[in-house]
Amino acid sequence: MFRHYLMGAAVWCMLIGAPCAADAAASETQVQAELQSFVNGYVSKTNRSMTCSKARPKVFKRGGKYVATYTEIDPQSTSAKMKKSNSKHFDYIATLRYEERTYESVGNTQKAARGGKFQCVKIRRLTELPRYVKGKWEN
Amino acid sequence: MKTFRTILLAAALVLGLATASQAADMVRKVDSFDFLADYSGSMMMKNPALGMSKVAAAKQVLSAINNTIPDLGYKASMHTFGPGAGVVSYGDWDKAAMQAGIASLKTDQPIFSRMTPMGEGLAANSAAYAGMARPTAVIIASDGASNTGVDPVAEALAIYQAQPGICFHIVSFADTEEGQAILDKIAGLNHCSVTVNGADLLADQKAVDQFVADVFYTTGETEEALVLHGVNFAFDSYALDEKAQGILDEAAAVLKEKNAAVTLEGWTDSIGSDAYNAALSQKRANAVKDYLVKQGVPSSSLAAAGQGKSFKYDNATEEGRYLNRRVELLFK
Repeated sequence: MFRHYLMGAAVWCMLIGAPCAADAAASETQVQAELQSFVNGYVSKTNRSMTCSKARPKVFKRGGKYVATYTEIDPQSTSAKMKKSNSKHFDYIATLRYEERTYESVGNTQKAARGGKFQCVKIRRLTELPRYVKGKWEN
Repeated sequence: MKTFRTILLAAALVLGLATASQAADMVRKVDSFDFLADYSGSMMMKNPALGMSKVAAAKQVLSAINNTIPDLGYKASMHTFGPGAGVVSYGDWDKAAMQAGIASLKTDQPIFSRMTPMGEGLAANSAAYAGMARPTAVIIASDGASNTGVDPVAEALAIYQAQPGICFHIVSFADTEEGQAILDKIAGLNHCSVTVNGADLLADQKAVDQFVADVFYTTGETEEALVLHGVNFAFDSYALDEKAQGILDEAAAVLKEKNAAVTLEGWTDSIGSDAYNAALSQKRANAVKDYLVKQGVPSSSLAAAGQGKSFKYDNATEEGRYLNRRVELLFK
């Protein structure tokens, strides 16, 4: 009996062409999934674009020692929540939070600094506001 | 006996791990600092409670602080006032060089005819402070006696208003109510200030440890910022486009909810001259500030600073240049 009601509702939705709650929910779930995928890609892209990365740390002299340093976003620290946007320019807006960590290693030579144990010396807790525009997330 | 040794070994291991973990968790609270030592006639006077001259006590305390600061990549300098001089040039903090600078202060300078121009001392260093990496801590070691020149409280306030991201901390050697009152007023200008009694630091290394922890590093709290990309302007202009206004509407909501003082930094990519980008980034930072104020963010909680070119991301790629073009709202 219940199944008949559901089928009827679905047919009614198709006939009048109105957005149904179920469709809207499905769409929102899809946008949420796209957000997660966007965040993963954004963190990779941003880490890849860092001038001083883990693969290419910057080495400089501090006092009598060499210091190798790099900065990267900790992928484990990311979290993103989205909501409907009031703006006419975006359908959804997200709050993306993550930690950007700066690491240093100190050594007597440039090589020793590059190859040494890196210690986190600075953490920045950052928030960004990605937007869902014309069917895709951007920032 | 063997059991006892095992327990000792286990305890040492646990302690060792705890220490290592603590060191690993230390992060910089400031990127740079300046030791500003009062070198005036009154500091040469012996303080009976300290059992030495105030300048000798200040040297010992600054030395203890310098020895306790963890090596987290700070930049540093040292100055004196009364008379004003640069003792250690600004650059990467070198503990040994700073120790030598502190040691170079003489304790047998004349007392009389050497007034204390504390306000002028602050004003004279203002330009040097403007060039220091932010956030910046200025540690004033003084007895607070200010008996000539401009008002030191007004000078400190002027620096706060012109230079976001700076904070004055007080190591007091005051032996008069007036002197302590002046130091308290400077500390009262900004809630960021840490005030300690020099005698307490002289007597107890734990007090030094606490001061250093309060001013220089943290094991939990860190810098926090809202980063905005896509806040675009028309080419060679500082008029916000419509999409940028939409992003800033959302940012204004975040700021109002947070209700904190914010330094707004505008950054550009590396295309164009330094001067052009510096001027453009300041105008754009101002435009963003104006827009946020129109959306109800209190003007008094926003300080706009154009930072010019950013090299944080690779300017050789379009992706990197896009990331470099950004607005950062740093929460204080």
